[in-house]
Amino acid sequence: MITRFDDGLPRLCEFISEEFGAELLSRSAILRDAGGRLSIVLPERKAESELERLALKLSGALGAYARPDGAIVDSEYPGAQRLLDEAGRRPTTTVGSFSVKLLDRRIVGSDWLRPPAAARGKAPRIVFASLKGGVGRSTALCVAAAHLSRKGRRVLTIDFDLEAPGIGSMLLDVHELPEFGMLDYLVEAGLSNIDDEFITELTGDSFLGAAGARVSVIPAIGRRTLEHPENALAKIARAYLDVPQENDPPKTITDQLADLLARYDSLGAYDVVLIDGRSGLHETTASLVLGIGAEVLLFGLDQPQTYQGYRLLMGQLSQYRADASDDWRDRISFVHAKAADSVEARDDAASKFQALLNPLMLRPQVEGLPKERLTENDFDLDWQDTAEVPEEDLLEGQVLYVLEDTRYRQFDPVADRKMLDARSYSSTFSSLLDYIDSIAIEPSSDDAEDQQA
Amino acid sequence: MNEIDHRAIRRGLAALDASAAHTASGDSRAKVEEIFAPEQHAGALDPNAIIVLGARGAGKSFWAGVLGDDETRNAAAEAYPNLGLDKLIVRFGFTGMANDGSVSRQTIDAQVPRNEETTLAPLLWRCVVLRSLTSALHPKAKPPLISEMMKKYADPEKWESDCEAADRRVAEKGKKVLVIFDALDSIAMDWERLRDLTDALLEVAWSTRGYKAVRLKLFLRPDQMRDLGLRFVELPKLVSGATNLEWDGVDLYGMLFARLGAIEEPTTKRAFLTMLQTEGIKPPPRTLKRLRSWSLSYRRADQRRLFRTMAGEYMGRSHKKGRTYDWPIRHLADGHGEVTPRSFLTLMMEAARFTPVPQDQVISAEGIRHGLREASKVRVNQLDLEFPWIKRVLAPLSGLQVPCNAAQIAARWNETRTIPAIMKRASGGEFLPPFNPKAEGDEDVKLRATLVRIGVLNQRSDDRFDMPDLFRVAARLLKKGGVAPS
Repeated sequence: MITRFDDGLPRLCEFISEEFGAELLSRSAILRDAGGRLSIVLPERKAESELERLALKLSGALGAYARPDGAIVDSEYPGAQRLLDEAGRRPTTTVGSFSVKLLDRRIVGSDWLRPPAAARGKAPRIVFASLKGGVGRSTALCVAAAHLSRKGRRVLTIDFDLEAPGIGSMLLDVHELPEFGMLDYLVEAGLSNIDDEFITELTGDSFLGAAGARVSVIPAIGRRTLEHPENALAKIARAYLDVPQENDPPKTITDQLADLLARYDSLGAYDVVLIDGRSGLHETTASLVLGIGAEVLLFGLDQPQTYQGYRLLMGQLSQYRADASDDWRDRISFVHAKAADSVEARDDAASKFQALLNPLMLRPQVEGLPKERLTENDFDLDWQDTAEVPEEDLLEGQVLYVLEDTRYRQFDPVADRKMLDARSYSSTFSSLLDYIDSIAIEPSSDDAEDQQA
Repeated sequence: MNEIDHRAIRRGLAALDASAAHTASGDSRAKVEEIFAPEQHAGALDPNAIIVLGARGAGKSFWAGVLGDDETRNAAAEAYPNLGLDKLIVRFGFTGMANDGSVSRQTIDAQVPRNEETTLAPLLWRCVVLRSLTSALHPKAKPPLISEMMKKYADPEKWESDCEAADRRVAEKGKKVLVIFDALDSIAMDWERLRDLTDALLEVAWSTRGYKAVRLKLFLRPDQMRDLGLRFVELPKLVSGATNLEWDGVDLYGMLFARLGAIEEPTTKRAFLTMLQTEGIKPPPRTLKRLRSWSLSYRRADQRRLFRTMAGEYMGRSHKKGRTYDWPIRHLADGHGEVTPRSFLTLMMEAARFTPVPQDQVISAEGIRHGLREASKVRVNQLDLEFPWIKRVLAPLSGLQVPCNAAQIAARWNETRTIPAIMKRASGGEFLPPFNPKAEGDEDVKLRATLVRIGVLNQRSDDRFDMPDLFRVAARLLKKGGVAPS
């Protein structure tokens, strides 16, 4: 029976819990190296001979997934204490019925290992993300920007899809393109100094702001890259790298983005930031979903592959605990894209999207049937309504939707500006815009419903 | 701008009485200060509307009580001057209560033996109507016994002539006599008898339409009309003219604000007026008639603005969890989408009792959620008074996730021998069984159908069953993901 990736960790946990019990396992540090091989650091001292015996047995159980040397070490091993300390600070990972501390070493993708950041920034940040392209994500962002601008909110939009630039070209015409883009920022942040002048060369103002407050855009690709196309791929290859620091851990792409946002926050020039992500479960998606304390809108069509993909993402998120004062789970919303205009169909899709959040919810344990078997002679019973219904169960989630609208299929706002006219988008995007209003605009009594009354 | 004393309003809200009248007579009948009448409920007061349909808690007994008591009827007459309530003499035909002149169930049982309903029940009801008439004409005299009257009027012609004579005399005085029937589901403990007694009463009510001065008014639940399999041929005509006691969100908030506005305690009163002032809303009027034109009685926009000041805009940080104004209405609805005043008031009062006390608000979103839990418990307990089998039916379902399919529900009932247990107890004559055991079909199907009819379950388009939060919370079922309110 060959051990595969998914078998390794459970087998290691079972092995250790059989040998020493689940309690000791929960205090150990499990290390998975960049190649995927496993080893474990026990939190106490064991006899040399026993460790050797166990290492041999463990290698048999894990096959290729056991680290060739020191698959199992005790607290006396050089560097063991550092690993145990690091593990102690980590959130718990659930493996079957075990709770363990896993140190997952990755060369790329380490931003997925950070617990979600707390809400940050004076100006709310709203991320538009999806697993697949073609779901109307960027279009929705443009509409949201137009809408917020009309309501007098100064909008900063950021194109974080470095490899397939979108909103930069949607919202800026070629002459409005700034010198640099997000790609340049990430490359320069690793090497040269980012000064204020560079920052001013990073944004261009869009025609969208003409009807209201200013709408600025940081495109993925700036004019400089268009002038030197031979460098584009070379920059992309370097954009994702961590930036080593003198005395601190290296800055990941999340840190670099967070720094940039903090910089704009301190300028105070914008009321809301809209960020367009890249499709798929990429490293940059981790930055946007977890790293910057943003409201996250996850777009998807009502299709099996949408739910399948999001289940993987939720599986990753389910290992993070929520904190009552700032519950990151509240900031995740699904957007049912290209929804049919029938309430029934939308409700059906909504319950499928909503079910994706189940792994993030601590399901309350509600006792089922009374212990003793009821018979036809038992009519009177103790009605249990003293137990509180868990709060979780009364929080209604909400699945937003954007209606299918053929007019937006060939959407090019630069060429066809009337598509960003309120009359065009209001019904198609109303569910989404209501939500965005509630995030970015203090409620005022002038909303549409009151107008009608 | 004055500082609003939120805590004073909180105290006033917490001290409201949610148990709006639930009997037509006696100590818990309606009080003047509780009258809040949505326009469409005027039909409940109209002497010419024979049938008034309302779900449990929608206010049937409340209106019966308003009509039956001189003080409250006069207040209603001022608010609804065109209904001629001031010329009304009201008598109770059946209420399930003692000492209000109505006929008791014991008397009905004694005078109409089982299996003789079709012959004797119409006579009984005619005697009840005639006795109300004579008592209206001679309020001082001791009313005759129903048993004696039934002997005397075994000949229908005799009853007709006496009744016509009495009708004329009342009409000459410029008065009308209204005979009210409420709580009719408690006149019998088995389905056939209940159906036959109700049929007979409907027939008598229909036949008295031709009189000048006598009117009957029957307060019924819609499910009573549907479940009983009534046979009275003119039923469709009666039902088409029925008044429905339905409360929409605006009515419920209107009632809440009217109650708050009626509080006389000085600090609360002052705080409430200050809050209205900051929102630019006029103070509550003093009379019932003017209350109807107060903007908080009917203007949703004003209600929402005020409620936002009281409870904040959203049920959480954002629109995602819904608006505080809409959330209570949505979560308190039964399977027919109806919310009763009592559930609504219970939620609001409990929200005001919930701690921690919010900053700069009267109630918090957590308080509102807590209020739903309490309202749910109260509602199940109310339902238990009416359907003593309900807890035995719901208890086996605790922990089940809804929506779920019929088989999952049936399995829980089978494991716990629920249906046999209920039918066994019901056969003792303690209460009406949830369905007619003689009707066609599987028992668990019939039981689910009954639960759907009384609004405890609803069946979705994909045939799965769902339970409204109003019952689900107290019965401790779990809910799979929520759906966006659209």
